[in-house]
Amino acid sequence: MRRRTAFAGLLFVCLCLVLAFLTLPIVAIFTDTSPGALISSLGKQGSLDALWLSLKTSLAALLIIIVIGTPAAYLLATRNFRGRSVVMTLIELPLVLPPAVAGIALLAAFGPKGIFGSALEDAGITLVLQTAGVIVALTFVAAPFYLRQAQEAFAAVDRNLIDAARTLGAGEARAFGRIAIPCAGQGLTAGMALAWGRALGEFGATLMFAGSFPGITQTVPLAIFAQFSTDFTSALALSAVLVIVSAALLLSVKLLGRAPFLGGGQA
Amino acid sequence: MSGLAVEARDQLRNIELDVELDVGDRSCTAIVGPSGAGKSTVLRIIAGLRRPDPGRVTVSGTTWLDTSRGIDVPPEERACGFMFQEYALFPHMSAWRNVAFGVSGSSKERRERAHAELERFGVEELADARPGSMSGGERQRVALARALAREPRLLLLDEPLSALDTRTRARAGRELSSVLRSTGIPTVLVTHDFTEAALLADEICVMDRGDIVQRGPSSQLAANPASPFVAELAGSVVLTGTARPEPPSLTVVELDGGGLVRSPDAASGPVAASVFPWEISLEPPGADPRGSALNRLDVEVASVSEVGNRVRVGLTSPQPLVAEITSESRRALGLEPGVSVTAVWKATATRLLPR
Repeated sequence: MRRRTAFAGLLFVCLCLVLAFLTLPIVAIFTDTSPGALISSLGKQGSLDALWLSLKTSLAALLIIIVIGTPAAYLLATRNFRGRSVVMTLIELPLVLPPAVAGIALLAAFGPKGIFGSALEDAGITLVLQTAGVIVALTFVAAPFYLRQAQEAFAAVDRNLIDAARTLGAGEARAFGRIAIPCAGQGLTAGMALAWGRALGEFGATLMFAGSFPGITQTVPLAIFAQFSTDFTSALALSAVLVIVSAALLLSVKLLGRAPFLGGGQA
Repeated sequence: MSGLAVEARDQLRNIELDVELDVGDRSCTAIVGPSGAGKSTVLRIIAGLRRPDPGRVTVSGTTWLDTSRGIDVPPEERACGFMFQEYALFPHMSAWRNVAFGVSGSSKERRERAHAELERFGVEELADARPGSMSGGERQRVALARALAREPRLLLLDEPLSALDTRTRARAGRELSSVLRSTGIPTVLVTHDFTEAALLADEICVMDRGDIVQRGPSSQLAANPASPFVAELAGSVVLTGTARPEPPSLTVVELDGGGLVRSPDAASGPVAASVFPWEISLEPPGADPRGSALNRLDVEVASVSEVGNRVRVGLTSPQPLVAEITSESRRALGLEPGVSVTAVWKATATRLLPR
């Protein structure tokens, strides 16, 4: 009995250590400087530019991911074809790729000396050191989060619902739009939140592929890195914004996981 | 040529499907068999949700599928009313939107049509409810309304009553049978329940491991099963007749073609009286009625078949029925086709199902 109590105590202590280690640094972001100083330093031009750029590029990347990724995920979820698992693995690869490797890979593909470099140049498109390059980097690292989630969500939709829509006169496209997407809505939204969160925090690949030019390619994580040695308070303020946004995204994913249905109603 | 004609071969996971089926106008055919026999696959082939090879599906002279001529009309152009096993109502849409989904026309026309269809099935008050908040019986009605709203040329029902609890099932079965009679659309119905098939369909196809092993009216299958498999599936005997109360607590059924059967179940009007063959015992003709069994019919032996260590005896009364007895009893009574006997069973063994 005494041993069991001691063991229970050990478990409790370990959990406390984990919790303290993981949350204290985050709490410190908000307590290291006064809230007033945090808010006023957000008003500086560099910080505002970084926030605006991050919002713009991450939403653009998210839009690309949703528009192209949703039909692709639907195909992966509903058709069984030769090599499907290979395709799945390839799509998931960027999830485990180190950011520096992702940056090098993007340069090797779309950089001036990359395999598509001259083709892009002929078309008059420059990605490296441009805002467009940021969007490419964000799309590359964030897309797998959405694709994986969307594929699972579509696979979980009752096949009979799609078939019922077909027998009621809906072609494949209408069944996809009117039935599959709303029924997978919860999973799709969770995937969007995860992908958006990943895009907002993206650092390494962006730095290598697009550089860190204020107002052009310097997103919030890059601005934090650029400012922390000279203006620690500004770096803290930007970090605080990212913490709040990330926490909100995480919370929305958790709440969506519990909601019986996207758009209300009982399951 | 009218009605539905299907020929299909298909390789399923572990069985080979080989089916030939035709259903006349204004008629309902039930495919009955154990799960995994390929019943639902036949419906999916007819609806165009699965492509057999080779296969041919024609409805009232229109070819929907002919693999030899390269014809394969997509499901959305086949005009099938398909009611799925768990009804497959769209969970994110209200009842009327579910029904309107298959209706074409302006949004006003579609809404009016959907409401009219829901009213026809007595569920208009559910028009704005989501499927998640409905009972099983309500879902079944909405699903039926949805399947019929686009005026299909063919109705396909996959286990239409099996998602319902026992109490709802009898009423839903009665409603469904009257709907089938009033619409007059050729219907193919899939079920594992022989009694349900007997109640709803004009003809039953017994399916086993991808093949239709016997077809005919339910009474014929029960009385003259082509195989022990069909005999077992046919399970209980179904007799049709008209019920009226017999005070104080019984119901008496005047069987179509003659004979009386009593049951403690309350019913009136057209009914199906069902009894399990092992509840029926056989006595020499003219024996003194002794004991408590109220149901006694003078019958003639039509067939005798051994199923395991039991003997199934097909009888004609005028309606066919089946008794299951031991080999000893068979020898003692000298049962052979043509012999007259009296079939005896208790009123409490008789179930009455409205039809």
